[in-house]
Amino acid sequence: MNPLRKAVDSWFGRGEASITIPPMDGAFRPNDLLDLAPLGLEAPAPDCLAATSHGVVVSSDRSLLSVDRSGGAELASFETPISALAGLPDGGAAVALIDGRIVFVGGEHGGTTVQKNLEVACITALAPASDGTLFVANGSAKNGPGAWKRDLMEKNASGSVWRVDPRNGAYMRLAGDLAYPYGLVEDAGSVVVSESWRSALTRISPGGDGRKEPALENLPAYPSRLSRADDKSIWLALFAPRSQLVEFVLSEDRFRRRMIREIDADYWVAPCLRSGATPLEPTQQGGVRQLGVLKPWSPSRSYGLVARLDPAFRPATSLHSRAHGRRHGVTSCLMVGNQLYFAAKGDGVVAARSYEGLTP
Amino acid sequence: MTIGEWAGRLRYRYVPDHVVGEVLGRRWTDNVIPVTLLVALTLYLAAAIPNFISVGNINDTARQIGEFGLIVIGMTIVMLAGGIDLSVGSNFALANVTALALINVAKWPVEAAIAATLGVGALVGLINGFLIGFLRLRAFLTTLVVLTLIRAFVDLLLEAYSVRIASSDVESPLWDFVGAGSVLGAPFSFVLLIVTAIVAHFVLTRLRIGWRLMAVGGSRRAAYNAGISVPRTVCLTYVVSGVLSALAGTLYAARLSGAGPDTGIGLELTAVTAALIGGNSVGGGRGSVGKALMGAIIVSLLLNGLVRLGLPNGASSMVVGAVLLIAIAIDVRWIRWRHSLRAKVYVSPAYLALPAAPLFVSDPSSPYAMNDRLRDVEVIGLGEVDGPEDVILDLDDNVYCSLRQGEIVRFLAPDYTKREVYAHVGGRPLGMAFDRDGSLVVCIAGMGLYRVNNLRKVEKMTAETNRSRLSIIDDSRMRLADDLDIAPDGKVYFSEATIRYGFEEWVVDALEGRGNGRIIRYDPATGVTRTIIRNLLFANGVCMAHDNKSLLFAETWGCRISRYWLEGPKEGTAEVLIADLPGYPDNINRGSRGTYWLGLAGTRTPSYDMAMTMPAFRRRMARRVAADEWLFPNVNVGCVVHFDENGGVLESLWDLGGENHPAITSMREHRGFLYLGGVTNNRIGRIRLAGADPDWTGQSSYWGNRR
Repeated sequence: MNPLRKAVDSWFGRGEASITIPPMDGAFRPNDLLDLAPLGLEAPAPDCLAATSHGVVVSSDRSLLSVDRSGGAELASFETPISALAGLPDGGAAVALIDGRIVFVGGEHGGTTVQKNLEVACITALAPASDGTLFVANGSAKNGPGAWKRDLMEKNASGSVWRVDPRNGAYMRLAGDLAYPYGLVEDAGSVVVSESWRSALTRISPGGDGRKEPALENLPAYPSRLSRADDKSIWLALFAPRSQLVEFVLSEDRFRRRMIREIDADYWVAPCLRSGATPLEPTQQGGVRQLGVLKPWSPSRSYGLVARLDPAFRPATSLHSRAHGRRHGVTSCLMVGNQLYFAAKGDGVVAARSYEGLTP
Repeated sequence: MTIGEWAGRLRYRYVPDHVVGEVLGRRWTDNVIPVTLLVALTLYLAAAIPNFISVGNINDTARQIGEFGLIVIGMTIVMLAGGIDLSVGSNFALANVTALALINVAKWPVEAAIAATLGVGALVGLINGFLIGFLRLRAFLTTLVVLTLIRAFVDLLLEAYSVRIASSDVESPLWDFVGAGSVLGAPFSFVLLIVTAIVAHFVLTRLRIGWRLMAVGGSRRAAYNAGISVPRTVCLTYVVSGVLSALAGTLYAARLSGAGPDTGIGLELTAVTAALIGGNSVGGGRGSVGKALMGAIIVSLLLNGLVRLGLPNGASSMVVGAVLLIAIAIDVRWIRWRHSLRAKVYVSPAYLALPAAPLFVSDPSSPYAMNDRLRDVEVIGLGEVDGPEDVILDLDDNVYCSLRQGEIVRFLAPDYTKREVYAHVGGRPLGMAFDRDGSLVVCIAGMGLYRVNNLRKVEKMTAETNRSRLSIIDDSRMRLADDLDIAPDGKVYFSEATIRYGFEEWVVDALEGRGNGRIIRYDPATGVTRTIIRNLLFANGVCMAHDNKSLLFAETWGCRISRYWLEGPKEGTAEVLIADLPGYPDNINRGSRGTYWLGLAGTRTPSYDMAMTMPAFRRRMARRVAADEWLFPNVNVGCVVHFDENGGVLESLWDLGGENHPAITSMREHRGFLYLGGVTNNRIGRIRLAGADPDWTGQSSYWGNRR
């Protein structure tokens, strides 16, 4: 690329520097299916879902809650909040804590704790590998899991993917320089990771060379956890929508730096899991309530979105909770039998609905 | 503050970015290119040619410009109506030979000969006009053919008369005067040109026929649909052009008394070049006589200069051709370029640093601390009103509101279930107030200040104020009259939110954050309208103080309330009353017990406050991000602030989730209740006030308890 052209483009805001985001169309055509799902469980910030021998469980702050049992019975609790969770093939679960430890609950390794690796301080996702080891996504080398907004606004790409052996606690780095890896799924020997800040899924080849190739790009929202259904299709949770304004702010370095420095992160012009919580949050022109109604298509910094990808990682269908919906900030989804579970972290809801071949 | 920030602040304070867009929006901008060209050319020629600016040379050039300018005016008139007249060159030659033949050979009296010559020119124009206007032939081809035919005819005439013309002599002082005379030191032909230009300008801009002509050029179809006789109008332009060419030919005959075969050769191209380079559109509908004159002078100077610079003969034709090409290119590109550039640069954000906002979220002891006191309002007219920007009550307790559809609707007391259209005023009615005799005075965006009298008849009060001396856009008309109040002497004080945008674009004014608003006074006794305060940051609510000695007004983007003194020692000055509101103030109205109510249309957000100090960021946002995605103050939260005469805040009433009342733009206290309106809402709210005087009404506060 001609450097002069790049400078001219960024001055005029065109070409590479133009602010465009993929439309919600095709497989991402909006609907209200997430909002129509019957309520399963209300919990503070339910985050990660996993299928275990106790049925479907969800992490919520320091606890593991049962989704299937009424009232969300607590199955386990920890000293520090949980940052990621994975169900293991043997019915147990691996629980990552925000301090960097990974604790195994139930199953073959039950009671084992993998101690913190200094380079893996931001565990955002776990996934079992077929050889008995565990894939670990480290979102960022600079920020913890709670500071994801800062990581986006700093435009970091310092995340990495590791393989850890629960038997000896040995970490092996598979790939680095990832823009906030936030979900993992094993696919034909390789691992596919969702890179949130690139709005893309990336395939990482087995072996230590860290070869990366795109599996799916140009998503209209920031992807998070991945899971595989019995029919081999992939379910992807997308936790916040991309917006022209945020992409614009990302391109405005001076404004971005001042915002990080001077303003509380809750009031940033940045995506979030639930918008509109306080009157100090930014709003957008099209987000003005008109005649008592907030239009579902109005620009919003939060959104609920779950997508089904075919085994080749092509989007097939999606379920939405739009701007006016109450199921925003979905960070995890899981298909068990014919029920699709999803955890809307932004709105503190876990819900499930049957999936009856939602074809576009 | 760093030096960079300080410099940036100075730059946005003193560099008037907004002027560029405003200049580009004016029609006179079209003259920029020809004027620049004229000045540059004159300077160059004056520098390059010794004694170019000498009396003799100027006189000489002016005499030629006089003849040429007449042709260019004719050409311009034809072009304004959407046509082109290529026959001017041979028509000119025909007039030359006709005039000389009649005077020199036939010995006609000069007056008669001139009249006959002009008649011949008119006839040629009529032929053109008939063919093009009535038979709808193509102007270009038709006049080209006429050019050839007339040229052939001229050649025949020359063959018959040229020797006799050359050999005879005329003794006529009048004829000599026409050819070489001066009026007040200026050559006769130049004076004639100026007179013609003034008349033509008057006709084109002030008379019906001129407007019709411009309309036909702008759009034949629309002109036809409007009932204009297109054929007749088009035909007329060719007749005028023919007459003016003949007049020029007559002047030429009088000056040189020579009939040669090369008279007027190539004149049509030179005339078209002049008309175009002056800034007239080849497509019609856009242009003026002034532009024609400028073009004529430019081309004459250019040709004259080239000759005097000693360029070979072919070179000047080549220059004319090149200039014509440039003129065509400018004609095609200019308008489009001007509009797109204006669209890009019109929005010009300014630097605006607001004082720190009070901690209304985190500090429960703040008088602005958030609460949910508006959650349980009684709702009036849910779904039956579209954007009641202002609400007001009469002494019979009926509620009036101003709606988006241009209607003032009222809900009848006591239960407010019966709705009726009180008056259809048109536009976008906003603030309202009752005057002494019970007429409802309304500010209407897009229209001005109106009054609905007791018989529900809508009357205009004022729609025009005094024009500022240095304003580029015409700020005498009112674009966004917003809110008003009435003094005991009947004078109406009202705000105009912004002079740069209409009501539908108020969001852009928010993005701009410049003092575009003003307060205007209308005196019904004298009918005089005067702007009394300028450069306000979206002037919005206006309210007479309880003692009527001062006026309170709100500046929405400035998040402040000010007081303007109408009498007393500070008369004519404004001072800030509340400087740091937590949100964007809208209407202010009186409350009972000497208090005031203020609606906040939205809350300040840290991100928007920061963006207001970064104009370049906002400018780029306006250009690169779709308008719906623009960063915006939070208007999904509603708040009413209660304050006293000294600006002390007594309490605030919030609707946090904005379920019923996001963006409160107006509220009125009436007999112990507060009525709420919102510019984007579909309901009116009513809530009982705890500490209010249950008998107090706005009406009685202003005009006493009379009906």
